[in-house]
Amino acid sequence: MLTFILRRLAIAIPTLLVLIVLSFGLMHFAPGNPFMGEKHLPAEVMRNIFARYGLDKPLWQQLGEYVWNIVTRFDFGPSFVYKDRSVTDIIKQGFPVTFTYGLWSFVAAAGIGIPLGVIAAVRQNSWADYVAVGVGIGAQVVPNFVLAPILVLIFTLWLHWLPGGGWNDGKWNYVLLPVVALATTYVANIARLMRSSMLEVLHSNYIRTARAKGLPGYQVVLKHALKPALLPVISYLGPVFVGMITGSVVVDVFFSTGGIGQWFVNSALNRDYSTLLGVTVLLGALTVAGNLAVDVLYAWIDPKIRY
Amino acid sequence: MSLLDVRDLSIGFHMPGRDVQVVDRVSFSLEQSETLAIVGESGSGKTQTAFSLMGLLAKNGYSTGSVRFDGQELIGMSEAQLNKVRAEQIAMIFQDPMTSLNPYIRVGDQLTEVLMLHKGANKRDATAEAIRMLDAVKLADARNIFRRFPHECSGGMRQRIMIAMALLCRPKLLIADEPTTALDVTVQAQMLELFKSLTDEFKTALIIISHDLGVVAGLADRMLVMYAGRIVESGTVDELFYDPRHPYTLGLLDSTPNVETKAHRLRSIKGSPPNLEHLPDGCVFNPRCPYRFDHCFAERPKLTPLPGGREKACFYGAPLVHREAVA
Amino acid sequence: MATETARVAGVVDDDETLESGGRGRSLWSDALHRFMRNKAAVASVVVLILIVVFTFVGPFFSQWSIERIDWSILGMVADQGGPSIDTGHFFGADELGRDLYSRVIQGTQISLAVGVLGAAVAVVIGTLYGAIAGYFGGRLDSAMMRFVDIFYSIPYLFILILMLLIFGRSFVVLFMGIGLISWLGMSRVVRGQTLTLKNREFVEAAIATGVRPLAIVFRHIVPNLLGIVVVYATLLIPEIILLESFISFLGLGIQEPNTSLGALISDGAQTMQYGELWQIGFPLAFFVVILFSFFFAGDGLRDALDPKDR
Repeated sequence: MLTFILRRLAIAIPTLLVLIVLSFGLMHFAPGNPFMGEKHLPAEVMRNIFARYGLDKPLWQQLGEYVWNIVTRFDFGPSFVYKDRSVTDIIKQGFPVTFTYGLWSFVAAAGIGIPLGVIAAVRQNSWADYVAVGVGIGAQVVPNFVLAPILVLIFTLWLHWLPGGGWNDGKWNYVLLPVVALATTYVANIARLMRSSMLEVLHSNYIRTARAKGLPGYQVVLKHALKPALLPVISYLGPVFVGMITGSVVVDVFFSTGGIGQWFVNSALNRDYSTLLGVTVLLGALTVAGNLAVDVLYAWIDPKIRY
Repeated sequence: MSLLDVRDLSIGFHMPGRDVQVVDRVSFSLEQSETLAIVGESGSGKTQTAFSLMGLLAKNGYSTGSVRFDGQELIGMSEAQLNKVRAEQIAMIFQDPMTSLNPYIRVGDQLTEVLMLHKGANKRDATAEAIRMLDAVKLADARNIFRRFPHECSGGMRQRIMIAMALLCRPKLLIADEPTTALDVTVQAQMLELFKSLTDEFKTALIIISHDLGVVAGLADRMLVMYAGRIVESGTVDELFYDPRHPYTLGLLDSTPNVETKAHRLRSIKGSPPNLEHLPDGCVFNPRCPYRFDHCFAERPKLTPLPGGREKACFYGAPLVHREAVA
Repeated sequence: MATETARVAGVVDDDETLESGGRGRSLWSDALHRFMRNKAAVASVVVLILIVVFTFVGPFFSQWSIERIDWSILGMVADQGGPSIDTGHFFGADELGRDLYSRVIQGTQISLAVGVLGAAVAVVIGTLYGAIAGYFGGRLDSAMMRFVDIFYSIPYLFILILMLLIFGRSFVVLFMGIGLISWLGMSRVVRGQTLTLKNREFVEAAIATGVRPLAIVFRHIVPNLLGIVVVYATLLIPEIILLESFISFLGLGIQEPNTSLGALISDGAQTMQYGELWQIGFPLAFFVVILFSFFFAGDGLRDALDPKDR
């Protein structure tokens, strides 16, 4: 098991480096810079500004220092647009917000989707099954950026039950709509996947053996069928994690939560390249970590993969 | 009273728009500690018969008739009641050992759960008994195998594990569906020896399903020959091997290559197994039968007893000599 | 009937076939038949065709261009900007007084085009890459797929946005960029399928008659990949449309005055509170119908080509 984890890490680290280098490189080929603004500044001034931000050093040196700073001090450098803040400050402010509702969304998606899928499979062709499949298909075509405004329309504008935006330090009623907007599509997808996977496993020969041993139905499902049926779902949790990270951008923007996603979009529009780079690296690292965790979880269940 | 008494067992499947019958009024019985072989081609209904004894038919399957085991009627039993019968009274091992064990659970856990469920054993006692049983099926280093995952064991080992698992609760009846088909020939011989010694030791009745007559010869006391969902002949193994009375039985025997005599061509039964949805009129075997005559097309032969307790379902009265079928 | 006979009688595996309801042929015409029997899938294809026809024919009826502002209703869109035949705004007008009918048509065209072209890019690159990796195997395969693994883990959204910033928010950048991200998944699927195909007899035969390896890949392997590629592509198109809409929603997508369904939905979402529900309603309706249709058609294709998937 340990060697498996180490091998996966051996892929994860270069991946992260590629990401950083790629983003860094793309950034430096981008037209314009955040300092141009309306006025055309004289060359002297530009040179000074560049020197201040260390942009006059050779590229490979900039890259090296950048990576070093992140790894040793978690320092992403100064923001190009906000003079009084560093990127690290921005991240410290925005990340907890995104992390909070992101975590809840993930838990909700798996915690509701998996049982729903199992029930639909075990009670195939019952009304519960049809509801699950129907909702599943429906949720797939209503992406989070469509669902969010609909939720606000219903719960904020019509019913006045929940606030339509803001964060208020994470009070539950401010967290609820973002979580629903983000998790719903995935609840549906996970349920569908769980259902079809469970159905397939239940037709296996080894399940027939379990029945022949006189095991009661719930034991057959929970002890024998659940683990193998979960495998494709666990693989899918990787993309779910990634999808939630990207989806959080929309949620942040729409609900004005002040989370990382909002900073990403703003820095893209303002050409605040250092913040953009910092957020990209952070979210990229999260993605890589998430994929690694999913791989390990998969190997824990499937003994054949470990070697 | 017989251990197992099957009367007019019929099995069918609900298909889109119609029902297909795969087993048609099969009757036989089995005594304690007896070994019965059920023989036939693929599609003869032998496996489905076995499944229906354990209540393991697919969701679209149904069975009618009577199956009395140790005095209890199995047809129509609830799932909960059947679960008490399974493993404790009747156990089954399946055709494909490679896929019959759960790949995600250790061998030992799959064994102990049977004991913990049916005998209320605790983990320690169950482990000890399981390891004892793994020894009994002649697995070397039982302790080691106990801890392994199925994919770390060979096909022969897995089949032995299945046998051990089936015998844990000392069931009165063991059903083995083509237990050697998926294995090497050399392993087959060992497996048959194992079956013989185990059924002797534990006094288990055995139903062995096979299309391989060599397997049957070494193991069974009596045998049933099935064709297109019906029993066409039954009797002791000796009776059927040396004096078959149904042309299909003769065909099966003839088609087994004989090591001793040099034949120029392999003999086979002309034609192919029938479409169960479009059976011919009269005797189901008549398209392929070298002994057929007019009456065979008019009426379906019933299973009739012959002196000595054997039965056959055929109108041809004289002893059989090999004949080529007319196309 | 002959195949039915053999199957039911159980020349091969009768019990399973009977138990599962008697399926089991795999020729193209059989696939077509199975597809035709799936009413939802057939309906979806029809709907998609109708929508495409609409985008070509619709502009003949439109009375406004996509950017001309209707000054007569500007500022009073909530009251007078609703759908009506008289004003010529069949779908109503947006907040800036532009005609929603022509904008929805254009948005649909752009979204569909990005979806199809993006999928085309992904299919071409992904299929060739995956087939070559799968067929030649060995170290080449390991290296190629390791490359895919690494790039697969990179959150594509950010790279895409960066690309849009750098190369400009044009239509071409959009579908090229999305296609360049999507080929990764396709290449994995194709590689897996190639590995299976590689061991089939017809490939052995081709090798035995001296066909060169690259020719085998192009002439034998790729045509047999068609089934799985088509299914994957059909399911890829709605994903691409979703991705493009997502980016447009953030304001980083296609440049004004051109628009896509995602951008229209985004704009419409912001005016919902004023009661101007048509602004989100029409683009959303088209969006949902298109996605549904692709999903059902894709599902139908998959069931038709690989029946044991249900």
